[in-house]
Formats: sequence, C-alpha cells, structure tokens
Amino acid sequence: MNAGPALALTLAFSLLLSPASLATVASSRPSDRPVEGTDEAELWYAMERIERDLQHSPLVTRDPALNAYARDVLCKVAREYCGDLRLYLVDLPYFNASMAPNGAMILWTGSLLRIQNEAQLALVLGHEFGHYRERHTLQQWRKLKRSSAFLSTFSVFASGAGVGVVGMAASLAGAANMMKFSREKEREADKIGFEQLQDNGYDPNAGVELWEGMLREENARDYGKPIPVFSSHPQTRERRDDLRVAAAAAAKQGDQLHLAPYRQATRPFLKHWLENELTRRMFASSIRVIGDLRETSASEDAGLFTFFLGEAYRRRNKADDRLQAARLYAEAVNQPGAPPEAWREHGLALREAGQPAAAAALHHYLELAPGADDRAFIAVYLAELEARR
Amino acid sequence: MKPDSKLRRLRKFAGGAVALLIAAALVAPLQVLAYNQNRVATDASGRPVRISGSVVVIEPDIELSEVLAGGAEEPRRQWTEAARRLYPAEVQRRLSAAGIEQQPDYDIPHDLPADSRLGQIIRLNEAVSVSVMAYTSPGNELATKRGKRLDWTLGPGVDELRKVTGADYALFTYVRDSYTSGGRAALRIATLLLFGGDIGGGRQVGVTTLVDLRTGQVVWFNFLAKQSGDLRDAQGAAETAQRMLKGLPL
Amino acid sequence: MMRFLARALLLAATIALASCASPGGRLVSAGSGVAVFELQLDTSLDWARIKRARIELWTIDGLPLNEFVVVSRVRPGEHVFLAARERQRRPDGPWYRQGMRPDEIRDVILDGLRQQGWANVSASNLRPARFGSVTGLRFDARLTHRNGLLYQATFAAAEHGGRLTHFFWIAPSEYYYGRDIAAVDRMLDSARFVD
Repeated sequence: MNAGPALALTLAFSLLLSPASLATVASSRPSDRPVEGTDEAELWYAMERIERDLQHSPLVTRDPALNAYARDVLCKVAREYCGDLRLYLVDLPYFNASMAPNGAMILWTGSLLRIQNEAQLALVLGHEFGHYRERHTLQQWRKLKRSSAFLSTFSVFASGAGVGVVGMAASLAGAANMMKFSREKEREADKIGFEQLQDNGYDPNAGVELWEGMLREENARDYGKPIPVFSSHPQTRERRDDLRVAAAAAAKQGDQLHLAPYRQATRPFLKHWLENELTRRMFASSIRVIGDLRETSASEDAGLFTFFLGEAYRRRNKADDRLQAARLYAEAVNQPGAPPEAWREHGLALREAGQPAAAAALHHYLELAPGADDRAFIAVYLAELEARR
Repeated sequence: MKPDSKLRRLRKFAGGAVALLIAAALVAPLQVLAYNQNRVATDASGRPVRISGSVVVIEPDIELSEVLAGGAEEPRRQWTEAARRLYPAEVQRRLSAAGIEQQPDYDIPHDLPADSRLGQIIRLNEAVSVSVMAYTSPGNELATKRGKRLDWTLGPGVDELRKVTGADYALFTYVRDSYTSGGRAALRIATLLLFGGDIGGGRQVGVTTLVDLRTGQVVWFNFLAKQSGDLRDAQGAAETAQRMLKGLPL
Repeated sequence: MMRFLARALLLAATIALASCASPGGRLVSAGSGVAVFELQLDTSLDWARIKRARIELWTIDGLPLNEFVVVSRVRPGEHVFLAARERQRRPDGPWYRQGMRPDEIRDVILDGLRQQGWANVSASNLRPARFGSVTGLRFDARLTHRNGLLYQATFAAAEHGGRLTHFFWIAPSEYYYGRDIAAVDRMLDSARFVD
C-alpha cells in the first residue's frame, strides 16, 4: 500500500461532507467499543486488518524489555485507558508516531533515538493518546470518507508499508497531507499530552527541547522540498512555542526527566538505531541529529556518538568531511563506549594519512572484534602496511 | 513503450529487482489474463496428476470491499466474514460430492510467528502462487519451463503443514472483490496496479493452489480475474467456488 | 499476499506487453563462457534470461523465487540500480562513487535494496574476490520481504574502467536458497571481465 502518487489520484475526488460528519464526536470512555454497523465499527475493522499485518511485520521490534518499558510509560499517560491500547515499536529511522482509532499506537525507533529522556517520551505518547481519547481519527475519517487512501496512508505510518527507507521521506510528505489533523485537533492533543506530563510530575521543558531538536533537524536539510519530520505535524515551531508558554504558565512545575531509566532501556539499541539512521543516506540531517545527541549523551556513550558522527561525515564525503571524520575517530577511540569499528575507522584514516600507527589500530580492531565480517579485507591492509615497513 | 517517468514511479513502488524489469506502462493489463488459468502438474511419466488422498482447505484469504461514490474502497467486515464462511463451506460440498476425503479446515493461528517454518511455508506459497500466475499465461511461459505443464514446488517444508492438518493436499485460496451499492464498479485496475495497491475496482480476483503435502509439489493452480458469483451470499459463493475449482484434478 | 499479487500481475502484464524478447525470457542453457555485458560466466544451471540496456535479470522459477541480477557499468553519481542520478537538490540516495571501499560498495548496494523495501538487511562474509584480472569483492546477506518471507542472497562487485559492475542472487531461505546456492556460488566465482 503506498501513499505518494496514489494520493494524488485519490485527491482528485470531491469531498463529501455528510451532515453526520458535522456532528460533534464525544470523547471516548475506557473500554469503549464502537456500535456494530456504524462507520466507526467499519473503521475499527479496517484498522484491525492493518494491525494484524503489523503484528507479523518483520519491522516490529519485539524485545520484551524495551516494549515493557515503553508500555509502562504509555500506561502512565493513558491511565485507565491503558488496557485499550497496544504499542508497536516499528524499526524505521524517522521520527514518527501514529495512533489508530482502534487502540493501536505506533512509534518508529527513529523517535526513540531522538528522544533523550522519559519526559519527552511521555509527551509524544501522551499526544497520540490524546488523539485516541478524543476520537480525532474517526472525525478525520468521516470528513475525508476516502478510506482506502486513508488506510494506505495509515499503513505508511504503521510500518512504512510500500516504500523503502530512502523513498519514505517523499511518501511521508504526501501522507502528511492526508493525516493532517486540523490545528485545533493538534492543539487539543498537545494539551492532553501536556496534562499527562504535569500529572506525572515530568518536566515540561524537556518537551521544548525535543521540538527544538526537531526544528534543527528540519532545517539541516537545505535541499529539495521540506520534509516535515514529525510528518503529520508540520508546525514544529508553533508547537514548541505553545509548549514553552504552557510550561512557563504551569501552576505546578514538575521536574522529573527519568533520564536513567530511559537510557537504561534504550542503550542496548543505540548502535543499531544509529546504523539504521545512516542507511537513510540523508547525511546532512544525520550529522545534525547525531551531533545534537552527542552533546547531551551520557558519558558512557560518548564514544558511540562520536564514532557515528564520524561515520556520517565520512559517508557524506564532501569537501573536508573525511578530515572531520578522521578527527572524530581519533577522539572516539579515547572515549568510553566506542564500538570496535571506531578502531577500524581510526586505523583506516591513519592509513590514508600515511601514519605508521595505522597497523596497531587495525590490529586492535581485530582483537576487539574477532568475528569481524570484514576481517579478510583488514588482513589485506595489514599485510600491505607490514610490507611497507 | 511508454515514457520513462512511469518506469521510475513503478520502480519506486513495485519493489524488488522486479521493478527494474518494468519497461511498459499498463494498458488494460487484465485483458491479458482475463480467462481462467488452470493448470495441472504432470507426474513422472508425463500424465496429469490426480488427487489421491485427503485434502485440507486452508483458511481462505478473502477480503470484500465496498466501492464508494468517489471510487475509493472500504473493506466490509460483514461481507468478508460471510464470504470466509460461505466459500469454504461450498468448497467442502464440492469436494465431498466428488468423493474426496477431507481433513478439518485449517485456520492459520493469529499468533503464528512469521519466522516459524510453518509461517514461512505459508508465505512461500504466496511467492510460488504469484510466480505461477505471472508465468503461466500463454506467451508468458518461463524459458526454463516451456513444455512442462506445472513445475513448481514449496519444497519439503510442507511437512509442517502435513503434521498440523493430517492431510495429503492443501488447498490455498486468495480472493479480492469489491461491490458498489448498485452492482459492480468499472474496472480500474490499471491505477491500482501501478501503485502496488490491492486489486479492486469491482472485479473479482482469485488465486488458488493445491499443494501435495508429501512432496511440496504444486499439483494444480487456478487464477481468475473476471465476473463471477457474489461472494456475499450462499449462491454467489457457490458460483465462485465452482469457477475457482474448475479443472481441479479429482 | 496481495502485495506480492499486485507485483506479479504488474510483472506479468508488462512482460506480456514488452516488445523485444519473449516475456518468459530466453533460455540460457548450462554451459561455459556465457556473455553478459562485460562479463563472462559459467553456469551449471539453466536460466530464463531477460535483457535490458544495462541490467539483466535471470530466473529459474520466477523472480519471487530466484532472482539473479547483473548491473553493468554504474557511473559515478548514478544510482546503484540505475534508477536515477544524483543531483544537487537530491543528494540523498545510494549513488555509486569512484574509489569506494569494499564495505562502502557493499553498503551502497544494500542501501539500494533497503530503499526498495527489504527489511532487516544484514551482511556477512565480506571478502576479496577476483573476476579474471579484476579484483573486487563478494559478500552474503540475509533480508526479509515486507510480507515476512525470509530471503538469503550472495553478491559480487568490482570497479573496472571507472565504473561499478555488480551482480547478485536472491532466493527464499525456505528451500530455494539451499537448492541452488552451491551452483550459484560457482557461477559467481567463475565470472570474469572480458574487454
């Protein structure tokens, strides 16, 4: 199922606004199910089909510990609605979260990479929960009544169905138009997200930092059409400003970030998510994102982020990117958390510069990673280096 | 041949190296395939295979939708659930009438892990069905299979299915169909195919395979893309089953 | 299923309508010295071969079941599967560049596959290889189709004359990969550049 040009075709149809769709929709209550035979029931059914695909999708991250943690946070913000919701972590390297009207919530792992603490996660999940509680998707669907395009769109958000990683960016932009809730509904969901933050004692300023990071990422890409990073919500700047105002005006100021539990839950996946980030081949954005993460990372992860920042530069390979990468590798190998590959890249950079320390670095890499996949090639380089001496 | 811009879009959405192959734009593609494609495999001595043993009907993958005024489709739960009951019931009737022994219908468990062997066999059947479909219409035969009637297999992994069903053959079915409130919609398949979406447009599409669970061999295959029975009611299901099972080597 | 279905109907229809060679391909019988663009290779299997300007697709049972692809002479700045060219306004993509390291060549090919929708793509066994007088690389991979069917693949690539030539074979892990991998490995190993 695809967005993109398919949407262009379906958008040619005229919009029908039936009187029913203009009636206000009441908030849902916990354990609510749609009445049999209503359009809401049909929407649930359609979403159930998508959710079934999602359950078996190769893209879903099923790690029990990570899922348990994320679900815990979800239940903090959703409270008595917690039992109505299922959270799926889809392994795609973009910041994205979506809410299906039948209770399936989707969070892409690109979000988990960019989110830095539990307060930010709670804000994002709380916002999506807000859409669910207020039945926004149902209202949207009624307004559009174009469900196959709508469902296709939702599939894109659910699992990136129909497009690969690099092509996704364009599809997200197209799909965003379809999934665009009105500003009013977005504000409503933001408000609910903010309320959940407050009720749980989280620091609302963490949310401001999240949107600022998103803004910087959006601005890092200075070519092509702008891609709204949080695809169904193009007005990142407004949301940041609204949140800043709300945070300042809040009667009770929470200060909890729960940094440690968030880091503990996500640390085992950082390397994988960073590798995925690079497969997007959007290096200008990756340099910005990884650079920002490096600034705020835990000291034990410094080497990891420094290494991957170097990787982003090396792969972009414009102007003096390679030099910059070499500097970063040299830094990374002296920091905690540097993966074995940092030694390889450091060694290869030294080799390119004709430095004799290259061989030692490459040897060290092979010691740290005896099962290295590229062992055969490294051995060739080492033999060459040894021969030169 | 049509221009390259369509080719680029096709590459983007069709996926896989398959996309690289696509050079022509689509012009009423289902005309090419708009007749029953029913094939029977041959045994070692070149004779058409005949069913000898019990058959299990695998839970059919049927989805029925309604075509809306603007042309978009919405899946319909009641229709789909009805069809998923009516169609296998009809198949069972026909098989019984032909004296074929049957095992209880097999419903694919919702929690069957995709990467279990059984999960893979079910997905491999999809890939095989699609290959058979692509390469069995006249003029489309694979160069490696010319002169052979039906030469595909799922391999020995089918033993997993044999174990859970107790059957000698498995009958797989996939159907998509859509209806307007006043009858069938006009064919719009070119559009949907172009973007890799589901087949629709008010035209019934059905694919069925019969797999020998002792060997993995696909012993019979049928594909149809034309008007047939309305799967929402018993009579329509009967007509559809009759069409789909035509040529089954009983 | 229906995603596979849509693709196959698309494929069948366009094969049927494509002019030139028969849609089911031309037979390549087992033999030695089969010419494919700037390469020659030996095969112990028969294949159905479909030729295009700089890409050939070979199959035995149909592309979803076994797919051998040869991509000839990718130019610097060109998409690794020839789908597009790098532009200033479009720098994001799996473009080939001259002088890439072996692991970079591996990554640009695999990113090209990721772009097409393959999931959980992971590589292994990156190793030097010779194709006649030209040095290059081989590697293997596991990848998952969107519908969950697991595939395995083996790849070969070499830079020659300032261009990248690469070829690979993908088949489902269930039955099809194991059935032919030994013969395909020998075929890839036999490949040599003939100028």
